[in-house]
Amino acid sequence: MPRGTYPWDYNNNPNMHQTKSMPEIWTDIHAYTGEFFLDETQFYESIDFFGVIPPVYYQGIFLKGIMFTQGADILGVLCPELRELFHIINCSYSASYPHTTTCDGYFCLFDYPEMEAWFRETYPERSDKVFIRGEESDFVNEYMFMPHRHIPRDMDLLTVSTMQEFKNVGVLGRALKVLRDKYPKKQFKLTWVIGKEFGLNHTELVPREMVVMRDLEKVLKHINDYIHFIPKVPHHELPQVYSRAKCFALPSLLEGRNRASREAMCCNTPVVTFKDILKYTRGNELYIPEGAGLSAPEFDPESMADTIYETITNYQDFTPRQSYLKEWGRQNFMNMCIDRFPVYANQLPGFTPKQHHNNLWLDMAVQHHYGLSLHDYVYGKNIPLSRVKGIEAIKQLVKTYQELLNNQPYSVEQLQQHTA
Amino acid sequence: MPQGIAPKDYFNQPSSAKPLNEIWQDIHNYTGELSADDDLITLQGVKTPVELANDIDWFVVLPPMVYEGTFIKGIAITQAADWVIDQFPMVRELYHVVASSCFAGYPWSTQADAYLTCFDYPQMLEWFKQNHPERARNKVFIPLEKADYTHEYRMAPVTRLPKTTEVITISSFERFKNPELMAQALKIARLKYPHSPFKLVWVVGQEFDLNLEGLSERHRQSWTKMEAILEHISDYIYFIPKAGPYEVSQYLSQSKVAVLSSFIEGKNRFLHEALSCNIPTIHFNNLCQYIRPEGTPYLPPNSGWTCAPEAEALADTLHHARHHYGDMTPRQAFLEHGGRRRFLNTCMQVFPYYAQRIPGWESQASPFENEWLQLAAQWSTGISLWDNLYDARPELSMARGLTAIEQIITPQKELLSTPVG
Repeated sequence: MPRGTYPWDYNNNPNMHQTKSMPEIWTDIHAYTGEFFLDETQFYESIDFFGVIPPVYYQGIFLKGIMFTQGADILGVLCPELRELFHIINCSYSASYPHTTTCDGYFCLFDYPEMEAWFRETYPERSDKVFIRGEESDFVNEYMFMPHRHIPRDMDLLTVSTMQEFKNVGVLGRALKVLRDKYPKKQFKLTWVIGKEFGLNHTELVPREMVVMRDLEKVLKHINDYIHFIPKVPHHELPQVYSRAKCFALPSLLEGRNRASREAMCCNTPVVTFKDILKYTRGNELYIPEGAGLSAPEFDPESMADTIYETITNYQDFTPRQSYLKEWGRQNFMNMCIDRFPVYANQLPGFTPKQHHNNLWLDMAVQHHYGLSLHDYVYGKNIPLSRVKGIEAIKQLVKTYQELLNNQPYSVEQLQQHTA
Repeated sequence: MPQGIAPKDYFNQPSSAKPLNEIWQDIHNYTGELSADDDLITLQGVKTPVELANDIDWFVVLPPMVYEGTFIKGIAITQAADWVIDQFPMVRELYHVVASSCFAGYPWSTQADAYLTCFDYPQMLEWFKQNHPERARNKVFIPLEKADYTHEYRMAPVTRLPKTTEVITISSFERFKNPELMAQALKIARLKYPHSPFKLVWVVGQEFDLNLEGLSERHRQSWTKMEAILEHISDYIYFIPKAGPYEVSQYLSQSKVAVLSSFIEGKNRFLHEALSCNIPTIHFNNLCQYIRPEGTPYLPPNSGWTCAPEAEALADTLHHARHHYGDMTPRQAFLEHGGRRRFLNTCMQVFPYYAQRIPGWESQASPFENEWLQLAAQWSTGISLWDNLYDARPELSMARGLTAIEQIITPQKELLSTPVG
């Protein structure tokens, strides 16, 4: 990680289509991935395991579970048993389709039939994968990230982002300057959660982060008049931060599955992006759902400033959480994953598209093996079954699953043969 | 509690020659509700109202909520509705208070908004409205027939436990539980099927010892009668004095069959907990026969067996069930009709109030799935509707005693004055 050539040009140029054809653009974007690969031993203990549904054997039917990771390439070799138990979805952590072939599904950000057809034709060795629309259905825990009723919205503008150039925080800084010039009495200030501890002297910042900092200092001169820095916030405290903001800004043009903007919507905070965010990988689809925020029409600071102003001054008119949960959130994500793998339509009793959270058979099957409801598995309540990190933890988890399933009349292999 | 006259004639007699109207009168002449006016004779002695106040249950099915400028009342169940309302009059501004008689008849509460009933029985309801208009007035009736408040994830099969118990019952030695009839059935089963002997595991629900210390005089009499039938009672029955909720699900999960020998009950919790733990049940076919319409079973199909209300039939059914318990699908049968989400749906659907106030009500068959309700629950309580319903924060969803009830409702008063979302 990373692998391939990062498409830098696309970070701050929304007009690449003026000089390149769409297949050329897609080739650029899909040349890069943020996955972990087998030769990258330094990332072995960073591999994620997110369980969507667990494997079950119930009333004579064996059903694989569904999990996702960014390390399928490594898991396929070091933990081959995982694939006997789960459909593995790999995530590139960028705008591209993943590169690995040792998985069953690919996260893609949006359903974009033209790009998908191009991809399948251009990369036939990777074309047998199930495509999971990751942007419209992600794995933010909507019950952990929710608004706090007793916290006043006392922050104007919030962003949660690393200090990297591709995040375009420089544009946001310039937008702050425009806002201050246009509306001097409002004194709008940005709160920036950076996700990294650093102090007054910036000694913890690496050179590429210092470039961003220097640029902002140059634009704003007195940076502390415009930005309130919060170096790092524990994950469990983030909902309180989001709940204080009237507007969340995401100024980048190229992203993977941007978690912060989803978490903000979950906390009922409207989101502002550029209209051109991920324009080459989403076709005509919206980046944020209707009612959840606004898009700045032009990729320039003034357009961003005007859009932020409109959002902040009308923040109560937006319905970000409601809009988000219509299609997104873990429950919808689970439903979509099950819908996309054809095996479930054939083998899951009572299969009803988009209603698997109400599937009695599945709920009883999960209860039978794991002693908890399907709902509690999906939301990871007090159980180390659905979320672990690192190859050793994943190997141990696979053993646990095998033990839980094997405490039946059949071995896992026999269960698969039996079901087949 | 108890108020009225217990219908003892129906405890041990399988049927009655009385007309239905008279039977209903007898049954509804008794309630298990708690009253602030009376002392209660308990196993441990007489409890004064002051002491009884600590026994009042308060189950929150739906918390009160405010969202986007709309306030909706919650729903709570108690066996002391009038007492709670007298003590905290504003509770009716926050909740629809649902009274439970903890028995077969309709409750006696006059101030509750709704009555829990065992079955949807239009003829009996009509009789009740005519004969008790002061109680029936302005009441909503919530039949538990297709909705039960058993926590289906707490009372769930404990997997990987071997079936070491043949038959289990969870029941007191009260006369209406027919302990003698159970003993007779065990005796007959041993004589009739000598090559397939078994012991009944009996969870009594109260502490007592080898010397029967802990049992009331009334319960000792039951014991003595059982002993007279069985001679060596421990050859037939393995007693477990008392068990907590988790232990109950373990005991049930280890069992092949659950049996109940009473003729009249309310909404018997043990049978539903057994089904929720995937244990098939046996009960007499006359169980609660006068409070359910003809043709309506006490439990859903595929949940177990029924038999004629006599000892030999019970003995035969026990023998059969022990060898065919795998034929039934009790948990599935139960969850197709019961479980807390269905209970919430049933409760909300009988109050027209919710349909009038909750946006998007018409578009969802299940109120639990209603988007507005989900968002409102999260906004008002800080946890999801699911977590409210399944006791993720028990201090919000259940209380015992007036002091604990007050601790739930006092912070909720704020919702009435800040209707913003």
